[in-house]
Amino acid sequence: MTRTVRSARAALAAACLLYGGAARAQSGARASAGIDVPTIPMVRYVLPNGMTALLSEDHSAPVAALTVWYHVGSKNEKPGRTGFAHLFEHMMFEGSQNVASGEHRRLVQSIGGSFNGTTTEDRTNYFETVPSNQLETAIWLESDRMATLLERLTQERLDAEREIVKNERRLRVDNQPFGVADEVTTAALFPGTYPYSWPVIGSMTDLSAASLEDVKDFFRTYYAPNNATIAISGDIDVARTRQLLDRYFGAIPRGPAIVRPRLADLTLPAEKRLVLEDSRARAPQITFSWPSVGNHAADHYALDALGSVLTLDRTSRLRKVLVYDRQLASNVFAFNNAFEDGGFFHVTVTPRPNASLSDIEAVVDSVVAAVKTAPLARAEVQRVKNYDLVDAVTGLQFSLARAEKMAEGEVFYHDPLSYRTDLAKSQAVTPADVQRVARRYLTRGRVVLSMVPAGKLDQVSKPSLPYTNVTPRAAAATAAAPTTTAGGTN
Amino acid sequence: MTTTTRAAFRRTLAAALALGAAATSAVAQTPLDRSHRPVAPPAAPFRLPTVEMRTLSNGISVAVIQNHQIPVVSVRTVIDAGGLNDPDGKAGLSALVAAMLNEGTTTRNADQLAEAFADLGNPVTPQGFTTITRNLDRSIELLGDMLMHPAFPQVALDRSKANTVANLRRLREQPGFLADHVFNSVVFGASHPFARTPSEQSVGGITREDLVAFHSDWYRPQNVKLVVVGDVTPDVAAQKLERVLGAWPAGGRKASFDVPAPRAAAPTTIYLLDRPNSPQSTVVVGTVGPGRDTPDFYALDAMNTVYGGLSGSRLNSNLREKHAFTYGANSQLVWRRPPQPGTLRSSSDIVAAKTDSALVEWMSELRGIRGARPIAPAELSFAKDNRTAGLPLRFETVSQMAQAVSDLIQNGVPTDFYNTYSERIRSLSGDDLTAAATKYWDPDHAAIVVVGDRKVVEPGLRALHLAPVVVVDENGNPVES
Repeated sequence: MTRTVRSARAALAAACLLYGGAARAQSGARASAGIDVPTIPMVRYVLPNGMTALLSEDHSAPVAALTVWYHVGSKNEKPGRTGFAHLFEHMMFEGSQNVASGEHRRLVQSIGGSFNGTTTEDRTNYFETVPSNQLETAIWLESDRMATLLERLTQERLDAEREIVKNERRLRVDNQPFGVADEVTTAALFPGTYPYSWPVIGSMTDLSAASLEDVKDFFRTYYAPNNATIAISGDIDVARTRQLLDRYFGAIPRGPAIVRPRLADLTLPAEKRLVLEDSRARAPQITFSWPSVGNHAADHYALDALGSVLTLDRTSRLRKVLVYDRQLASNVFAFNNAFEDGGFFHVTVTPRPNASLSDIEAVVDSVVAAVKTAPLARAEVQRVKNYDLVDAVTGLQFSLARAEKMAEGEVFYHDPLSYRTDLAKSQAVTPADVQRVARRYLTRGRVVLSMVPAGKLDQVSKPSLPYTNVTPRAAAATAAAPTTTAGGTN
Repeated sequence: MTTTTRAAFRRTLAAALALGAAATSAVAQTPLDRSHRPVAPPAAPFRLPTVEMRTLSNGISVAVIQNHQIPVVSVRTVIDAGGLNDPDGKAGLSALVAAMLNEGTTTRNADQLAEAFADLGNPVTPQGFTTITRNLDRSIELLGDMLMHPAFPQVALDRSKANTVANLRRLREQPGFLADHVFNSVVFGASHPFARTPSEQSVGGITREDLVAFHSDWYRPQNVKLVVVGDVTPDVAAQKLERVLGAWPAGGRKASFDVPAPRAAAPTTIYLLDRPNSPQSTVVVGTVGPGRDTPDFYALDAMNTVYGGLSGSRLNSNLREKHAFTYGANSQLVWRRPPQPGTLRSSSDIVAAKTDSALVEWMSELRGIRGARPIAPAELSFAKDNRTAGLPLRFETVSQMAQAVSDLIQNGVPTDFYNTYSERIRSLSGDDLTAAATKYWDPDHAAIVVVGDRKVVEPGLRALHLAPVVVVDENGNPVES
């Protein structure tokens, strides 16, 4: 095996040492400039059929991780035919020409490995971590389904897996108190034709309506090598791994070119007030959502920092007032939910018993107003950056995390090491940037969602204002799903 | 691409070209036949990295694993001050003490602690931390301050109690929490410590004096063990810890793990908790198991792997893959520190209308693992290979190593456990697995807890004649005959 590639751990070590120096100095006035960003060794190349390969060698543990990213998510679906990308995540474990139904999971588990797949609005990934002597097995499994999945795709298998996906919906959404909150929020934030307006897991109706031909067309379009990126990290030999990829993936034919329209950012002209009731809930909750921007917009770094300035720890502004000073809430989170293109800034508050949602709304409004009007302290932005930096370093310890970082950077930014530029840009955010994005995005055009136990409409925030009751009136089984990653055991 | 990457790329490319000729014969010359699973070269033998022990002057034992690949250190504290030590009527006290440790010390208020964490760039909790080596001294100092000198401010206690009560209400919205609580209540008995869940009443009655007394009794060196993994030597780790934690005064009480015996196992019963409008039934099937020190540990571990420990196991293959009753079904062995008993249990969320059909399959799998469906050679290999070949994945990072060693210490298991684990698993036969299931998994004395929509599921459950159906409240008490 070659040892000429600098190990990922060595690169991280260098970064940690640099950071150590910065950490000692930063309690003074030192700015973030000059902090290096950790790098990992990486080889990138493209196979003749268009598949991108990213290889990173590190021999510190006898483990190898492989991830395949297909640049397809619920964004690529059409209204009335939602849930396909996630349904495919399931079908990809249901057998291909040479791997029987259920064999993928049993085989990976029998070699002591772990596997899964996840689907988001923008992409789908399939991954395995295995003892490194079993790397070829993982490559064989991934290549067989890319090359031959349609050979085994039957109506019967589709029907069976569709029922399991419906069970996943029931578990994650329909049987959870207020489980439809995310769906009703995005449906209110975005027009029905905008691809981020529907849930990743799809609706029960759409899942039932999918025909075998619909599903096959979707596969032919999106699950071809030219829409795939494979990243492998860990105890590998780069030269041999390259040969394995050529051997197993090289002959898979290129698919059609994919049209990838970019979505425009959206705004809401006015506030929308929604109410959701649930008979299984014992206490209310409230969320606030503003249309914002996605990961390609420069402002997303400052929006991330804004979320942390509001709720990162107990001294953060919104958490300090709501949880500690006024004690209206037991918890609060703020973050920018950024997709590949669009996004929304989200605040969710878990009230204390007997706290009024109206009082909580007043606090949220006043804290947001204060961010917009008076300058932020340098220190409150710097602490956010400190956490970001240590997260970036320690987050690269796992071989799978390194593979995922590389694939994400390649698929979304054509730069497998984009986490470095990401980190540099987030470290460059200033207090003025944070204030600017608060002013620009946290405007009157937002969605306020009050969630209350069934019949407790007096608990709605500002009940005298007009609102729309979005409670699903039909059986819970027709209710909706979340907008974020549909993870778990495929 | 950045300069660094380009340089790495050139070096790698050179290596690839140099090696290409040698590797070609193995890979590229035979035609690709996808129908055959690749043959893997043998794996390197795995041994848990060496655990070295040190003892501080006040008796605190420290387990250290050196790993110098990156300048990161993970520290975990294991403190024998859990729910077993909650006084009668004060369920939730131990959890409240743990939660209050970062609410301020005698010299730093809570905001000052938070500022200190933000300076480091990583939180330090009383349960441990992972930090870059340069920040180890500072992190240990904060850890020690929180563990040894909590201030327990009254205002923070009032707030924490109110938040605890709010969280308890929300937990009871969750079918999984309700099923676990009912299960523990009916299997161990409602008054058993394992069935004791904090209530609004028990938390409401806790005072600052209770916290101070609990801390004084149990947060003492004889109840503390530490695990350190990463870029530090055992001697240096011990010195650094001695400097802070060596001052921890002796006293207090020594933790005991004796618990009352569980109630006698009842004939199999279905305990039904009504949760209207639930599209799925949350089901737990289980029984009391042996202590962690049982010689049957390895056979149970392998048996559970075949029965339901993984998604490729029998239970999930049946309930999910074959019948699509659920998104997933699995089984778990729950271990506690001896002499406390463990638990054998399996759980799943079943589409409401299929609750009865799923239980028929479930009980059939239970009888199957006890011998009605003998362990096939492929299943035995599956279990053995999974348990042994997967060990390197469990020890990839310093945080994982620290957690694994803490888990051993928490359960009273020697830290060299993994050195012989593979050998013990490898020596098992199919009969050993069947015998373990037969000994501990009695389908005639199991508790079946169903949290679901009563009007949908009850008629079917009664029509099964599988076991009597008892409708219960949230604490497992019958609400009608």
